[in-house]
Amino acid sequence: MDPQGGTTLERAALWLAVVARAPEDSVQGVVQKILYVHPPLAFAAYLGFALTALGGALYLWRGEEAWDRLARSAAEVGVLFCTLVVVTGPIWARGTWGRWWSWDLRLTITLLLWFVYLAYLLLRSFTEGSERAARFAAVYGIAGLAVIPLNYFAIQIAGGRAIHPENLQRGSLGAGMGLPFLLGVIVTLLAFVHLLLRRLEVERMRAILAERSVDPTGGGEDSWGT
Amino acid sequence: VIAAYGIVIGSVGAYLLHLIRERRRLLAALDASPPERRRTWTRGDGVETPS
Repeated sequence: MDPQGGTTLERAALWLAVVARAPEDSVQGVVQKILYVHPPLAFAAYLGFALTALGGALYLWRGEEAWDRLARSAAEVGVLFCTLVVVTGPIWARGTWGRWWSWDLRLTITLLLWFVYLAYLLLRSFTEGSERAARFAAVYGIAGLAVIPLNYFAIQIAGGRAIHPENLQRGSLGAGMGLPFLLGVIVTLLAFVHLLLRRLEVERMRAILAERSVDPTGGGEDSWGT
Repeated sequence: VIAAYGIVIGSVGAYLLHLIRERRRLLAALDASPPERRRTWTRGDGVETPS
């Protein structure tokens, strides 16, 4: 295992140890500990989709394939984290609300966000290698970003009708809950960056391989022995 | 709670493994594909030297 992967694992182990020792919530009990992973996963998903939009915008502006690779890679890693948000949320909901799902505004918009970028990935997988598709996907990825503020402010938009708890604010966590939450955010974002860098490397290698398969002779004007 | 954390760690770990395997596969494919042409120049005495 590479040193970077090792330190990520060590951080994750430290975070889990801190979560295990964190105090139990007096109302929700042990299920409240999902708090230390659920919102950090959402932050990482937001970051992934923001990078998808940024990569798409830079691709449209500069026309460099590297930006398209960033958009594509960030969307894939972002969808992974968003999937985990959609999976961990209902587990928490079952423990506190007594049901797996509610058509609450925040939950519905999170599901919409997941579908938007899942569709982005489907679009990319069906139209691999097409420049026109890459341009369309860039515009789609930027447009999809509009769902993020809608998702973040869904509780305020819904007013008193929201069943999902309000966004965390300074001082809203109980004693002893701040450190595991902060560590959760740090570890999740580091895991996101680690996966994104690896995904980008794979994407770059695929591009080199595709280039070689198009022109197996190497494509250069010079040749061996000339 | 254990299920939630298990799903998160398992999924991230499985995706990481997938990326590691894909990287290995691509490295092998790149090694097997024709090498990029290297620029060479010829010295006055006719010996080819990579630039």
